[in-house]
Amino acid sequence: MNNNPLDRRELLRAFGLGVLGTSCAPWLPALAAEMAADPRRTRHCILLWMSGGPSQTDTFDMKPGHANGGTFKEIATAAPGLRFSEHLPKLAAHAERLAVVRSLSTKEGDHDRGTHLVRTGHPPMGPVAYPSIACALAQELAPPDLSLPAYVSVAPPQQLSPAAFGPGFLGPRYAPAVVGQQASQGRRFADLKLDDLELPAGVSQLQAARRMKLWHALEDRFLAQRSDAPFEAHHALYRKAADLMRPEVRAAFDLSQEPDDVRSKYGPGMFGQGCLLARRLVERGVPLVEVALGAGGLGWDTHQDNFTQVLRLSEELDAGWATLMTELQDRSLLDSTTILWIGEFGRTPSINQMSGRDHFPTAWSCVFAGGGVAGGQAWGRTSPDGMSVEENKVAIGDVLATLCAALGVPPDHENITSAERPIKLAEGTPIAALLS
Amino acid sequence: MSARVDELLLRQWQARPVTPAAIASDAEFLRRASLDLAGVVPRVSEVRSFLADDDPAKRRRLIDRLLGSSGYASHMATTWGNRILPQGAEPARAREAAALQKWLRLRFASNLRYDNLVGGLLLTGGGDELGPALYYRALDVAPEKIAASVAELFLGVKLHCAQCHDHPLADWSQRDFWGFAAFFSRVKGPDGMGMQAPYRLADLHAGDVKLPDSDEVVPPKYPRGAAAADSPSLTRRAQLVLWLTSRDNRFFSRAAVNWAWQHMFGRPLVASLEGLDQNEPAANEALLDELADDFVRSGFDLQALWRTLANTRAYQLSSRYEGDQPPPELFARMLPKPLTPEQLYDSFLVLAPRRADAPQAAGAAPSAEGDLDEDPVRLEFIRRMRPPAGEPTAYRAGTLQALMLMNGSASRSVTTPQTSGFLGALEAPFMTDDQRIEALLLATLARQPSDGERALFKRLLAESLDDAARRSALSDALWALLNSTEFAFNH
Repeated sequence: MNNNPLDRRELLRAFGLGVLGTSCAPWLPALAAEMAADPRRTRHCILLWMSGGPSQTDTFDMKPGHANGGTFKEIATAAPGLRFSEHLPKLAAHAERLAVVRSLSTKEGDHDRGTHLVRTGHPPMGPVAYPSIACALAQELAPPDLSLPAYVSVAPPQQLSPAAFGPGFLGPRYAPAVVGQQASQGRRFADLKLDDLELPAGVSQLQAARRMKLWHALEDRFLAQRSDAPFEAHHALYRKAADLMRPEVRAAFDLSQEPDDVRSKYGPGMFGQGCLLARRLVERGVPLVEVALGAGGLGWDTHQDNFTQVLRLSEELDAGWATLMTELQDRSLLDSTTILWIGEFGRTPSINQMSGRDHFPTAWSCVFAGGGVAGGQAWGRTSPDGMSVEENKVAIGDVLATLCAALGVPPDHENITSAERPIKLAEGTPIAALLS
Repeated sequence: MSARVDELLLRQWQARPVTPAAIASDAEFLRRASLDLAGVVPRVSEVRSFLADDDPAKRRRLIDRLLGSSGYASHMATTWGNRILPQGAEPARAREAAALQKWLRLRFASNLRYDNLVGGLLLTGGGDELGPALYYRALDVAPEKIAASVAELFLGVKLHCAQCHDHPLADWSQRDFWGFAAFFSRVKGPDGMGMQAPYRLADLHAGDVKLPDSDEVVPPKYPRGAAAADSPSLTRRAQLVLWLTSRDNRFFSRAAVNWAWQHMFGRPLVASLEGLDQNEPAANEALLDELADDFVRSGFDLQALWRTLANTRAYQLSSRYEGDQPPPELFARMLPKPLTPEQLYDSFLVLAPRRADAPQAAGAAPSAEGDLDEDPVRLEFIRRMRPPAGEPTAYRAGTLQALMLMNGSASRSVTTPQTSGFLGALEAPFMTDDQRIEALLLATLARQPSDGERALFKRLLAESLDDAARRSALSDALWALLNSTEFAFNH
């Protein structure tokens, strides 16, 4: 602890003001260009989480002509032979950068258990608190000097399997910074600001810096005598929050800096604006961003009235995801950014009596896109009725291992639990044909 | 009974062997017991008189005083309300939740027997008795949901798995589960969604549950017991309540005691009442049995149960421990618990009571049931701070919660000199800086400042040259204390 009287310069430094205290806009494009040119550049991962379990039959593995096919039509994409739903036209234009896995097969058909399995690679229960793959990858990919959180999650589901969204044995330091859980009604665009990021009215930057300095002094004393995991977690969280409050850092979350026509292209909802935020965060070096679609309400859990709901979800998905691809490409960031589209399971190819589709883990789809991915292809094949995998069956561990490999991270890299047990990032084999 | 608890724990510590932590200081104990039993940090005056008191029985007296305070009833109502309602039920039905709070508060204040409390909840007819019907309503008055909840809360058995197939571990078959659910098959909520009408629950003369994917009707059957014949005088749920709350139902008393233990010690005495956890020290099972028997003998007297637990030596142990920490299931030291959102907010209010002249928050128009108007700022604070369900000792807040405590409206009103009664009092001209610093520490951390802390804050005040600067210096000191790790935990 520094016992000298507080002087202004020191205060500014304590609060991270000073050199970078002005607007950040001019340095951004230059930084992005530099990042794109650097061979050791940060790799980024964007996880598009489809909460509720998306219908593969109405999106990326259509069955036209079969009774299970439903009401949607298939369209050609920019990649010869690869066909998507008619409600994903913008994505179809990016098909050369998309690789669809159509032969994913898992064993968990319950939302909680499926969510845990897909996100950690392991079914729930058991002695190890497995981290979500997003937390583990954020830890691998984070540059040491990053001020922004290494993992930002936009509007994740709040009720399902909390453990599947957390850092498990890696510890709370690797937990995501969550945005967008506050309802934003009556606005033109969904609002994704981190709340309470600004100083309270009447508190100057100088005063805030003095508060933090006092806080650090108290904390140092307390933690020197008391070490307890929950105490460390509390302390680490506050440091993270204080870091975020630096003006040039918090500007990353200010979507109002984007022109309205750009915001509109992404779509006005939480998902679209979340994809825009993902682009802004990737530009600023954040290695992992997750954007959930369908986390509020039933989402992709379309037991009833599947086609109306999937149509609406597809439109949101198409606008957000396709615009994200375009804008990352324009900034030369798509090659360093790997995208995975996935939910907790697929849906029954057969249509139930309420025009719905039910949970179906036996044969379903996920999609890779962007950096490290050999696009323009589909891997694996399901039967004409969609009920089973006929070729190249893929396990969830293989999907997670492929994601690691596409990001340049060895999937067999091990983290050690507190019980000295080594745990691989992903138990599975990368699908070589999908890697570029 | 407290001595008996300590005797059984001590035997375990000796067998291992582990050395228990030292006894917590008076200051630590006062703050701990106040938060656990009354839900708030102690006031400055309480800390001063407790520390000055040289009666050797002062801890026992403190426990008695806390159990008789109004804070006890509201804290228990909050804790219990959160426990029985599924997460997410509250914000949507704020008024009903407030009514349930009031209903519970009255019962905890009069120390209603626990069996009667549970019976009253499960047998509510709703209507004019606003509140407890929210329990049924939050579970959609669906027999299988009510059954799973009742089994978990009052029997300590997690049954949702048995809904679809036989319980993989405990010996509850799918048929057992639906036999249990059948007791709730004739409870019915009101037709239609009349939002304003009182929510009335009726017991019908017909209504059954069927095994999933079949037409087979499952009659009501007590878990591991006989089938229950329909009675002309008792509704099905009344029959269940009689079985559930009977003195011989060990599931009922064990689940209650295990929950009470968790409330005080941060983790349940027995992690799984279904006997699923092989690592469980068998001695904890024996201790749970004795506590449960004692609870039944006392006539399900909750205050007596709290008194037993709070007067154990185990509850007085410090959370500090030199060397490698002992396994938590041995309770050889106190586990720090993060303050709940309610404890945080209510402790803020102890520090900075709402000024009587403060403007009414928007949307708080007084209604006919004036006492059901919960502070909307408090409700919003709690909604946003509520951690996901899980272990009470894990700190699981996110950046948003930290930012809210640093910059949000609740901490703002406590630390703004114009609105904070506490900061106003510190400006009194007769106080010395030493006394001001002491009051800051007593109010937040319930202890005297250390030499280092005294020096830190003295320097801060010495640098502040005019009244305005001193005012903001005191505000900054309070802010730093309220956001400290030490404040955020009950340890």
